[in-house]
Amino acid sequence: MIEIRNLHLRYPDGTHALKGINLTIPKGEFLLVCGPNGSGKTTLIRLICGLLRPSAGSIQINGIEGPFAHQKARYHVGMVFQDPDSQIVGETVREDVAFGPENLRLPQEEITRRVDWALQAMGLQGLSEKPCYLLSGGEKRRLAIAGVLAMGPEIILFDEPFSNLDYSGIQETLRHMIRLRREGHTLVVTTHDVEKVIAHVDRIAVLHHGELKLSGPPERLVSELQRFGVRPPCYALLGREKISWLNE
Amino acid sequence: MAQRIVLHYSPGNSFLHRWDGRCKFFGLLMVTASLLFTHLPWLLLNSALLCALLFFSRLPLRLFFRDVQTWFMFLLFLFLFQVCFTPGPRLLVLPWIPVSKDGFYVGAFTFWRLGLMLGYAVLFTAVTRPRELQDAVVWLLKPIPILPGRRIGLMVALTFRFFSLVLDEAEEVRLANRARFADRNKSPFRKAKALILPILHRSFSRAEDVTLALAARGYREDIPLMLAKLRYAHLIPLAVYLGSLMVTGWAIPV
Repeated sequence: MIEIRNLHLRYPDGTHALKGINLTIPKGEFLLVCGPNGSGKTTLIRLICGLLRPSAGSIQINGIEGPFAHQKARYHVGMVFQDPDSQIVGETVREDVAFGPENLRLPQEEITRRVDWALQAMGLQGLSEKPCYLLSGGEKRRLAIAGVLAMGPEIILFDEPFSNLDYSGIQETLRHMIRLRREGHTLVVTTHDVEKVIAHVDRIAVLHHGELKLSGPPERLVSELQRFGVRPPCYALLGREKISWLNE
Repeated sequence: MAQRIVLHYSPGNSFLHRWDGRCKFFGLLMVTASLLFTHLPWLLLNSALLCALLFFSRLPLRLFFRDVQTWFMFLLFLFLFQVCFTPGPRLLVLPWIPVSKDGFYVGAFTFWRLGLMLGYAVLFTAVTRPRELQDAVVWLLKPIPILPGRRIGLMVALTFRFFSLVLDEAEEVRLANRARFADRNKSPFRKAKALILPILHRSFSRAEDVTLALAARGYREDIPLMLAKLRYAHLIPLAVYLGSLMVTGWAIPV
């Protein structure tokens, strides 16, 4: 469970990126954080991941409190970055997936077990010895997710996971997200393009100019997205039922 | 979002921002040339000048100093290296410290000179648009017909732009590494590898993208340079600085 209380973040250049965010994300929820560019989506999930320190307010993950809470909380949270190239550090697929577990100083057998499991979960077993720079965009995204999965986080944050992916890459990523959610992970996805994922999320949170404007089930909020610079999904514009991107 | 503002252009309306780019570039060349010499009066002059310029530039200095802190750690390392590994007689003041007198002086001067060069580079990039710099280089190289001035100017401007971008990319990669607990890794080799490989990859692919983007937008080198006429008033600070260098160089030999 993630509890965000009166969260503020001000960047060194003076930009007030987040202004008093209050949000509770229960265990196992699939939350979509949407908003136009510059609304504070990436900043919010970087704060949840413990990569940035808030200017004010707090983020409590699974009830962890006290000194070094943000460092302890990092064990529960994994983050998939928008550009997989900034996350891929290994020369081969296997080496990259092993990077996180090695940093956790797990025993070698456990690292091998986790890497094999993550590669299998993301359908990358056949590519395990392939150099990372030869992977396609979709494969790189899967590798980035595998690298996070191998660390065993309960909460997984996705920053614009569908950017630069083709149709099949989007479907592939979406399928993996749905499976992760079914397995009990808490998922937080940020995107300005809600179309691809909205049919599968439990809740939407709308950020605008660093403020949390709306939060609630998609059915209730789709009609209001346009007010905050987010394009509603086609099915809502056409007045039809939910359409998943996984429908063939 | 701007996590780091140093080595980026910082918009403003100070006299340094308004000073002609050609004069700024020439001034930077003069300062850098003077810093090549270990001449105490020149170092003192350049230090005082840098402090004054930073003050009058009206830049957010607190943020700049915060950003350059890590570089000063590097300078400190250089200082300690020279202090510890330069042979010679020990210091007269604290002879029990295993530090040579020569090493202390060499280290201190290196720290000082590199710190000043860094300071001037930060100040120059903060008050000069990349386009101004490019035009200044083209203008300065114009009298030399064998050199492709426009190409060199573009290279210099892109280098400045890219240096800053590479630092931004390094920050992004560092965060991605941290998300996977790379900060817990004790091996500096592994840490460096995890940082350098993605930065190189991203830098090369970005460089290729920029090349293609320049070509796609019809970049050509035969367009005449259109710059405003250089006003003599803009040359006065250069003349004053040159005069100060000559006076302190000849009148106060050290």
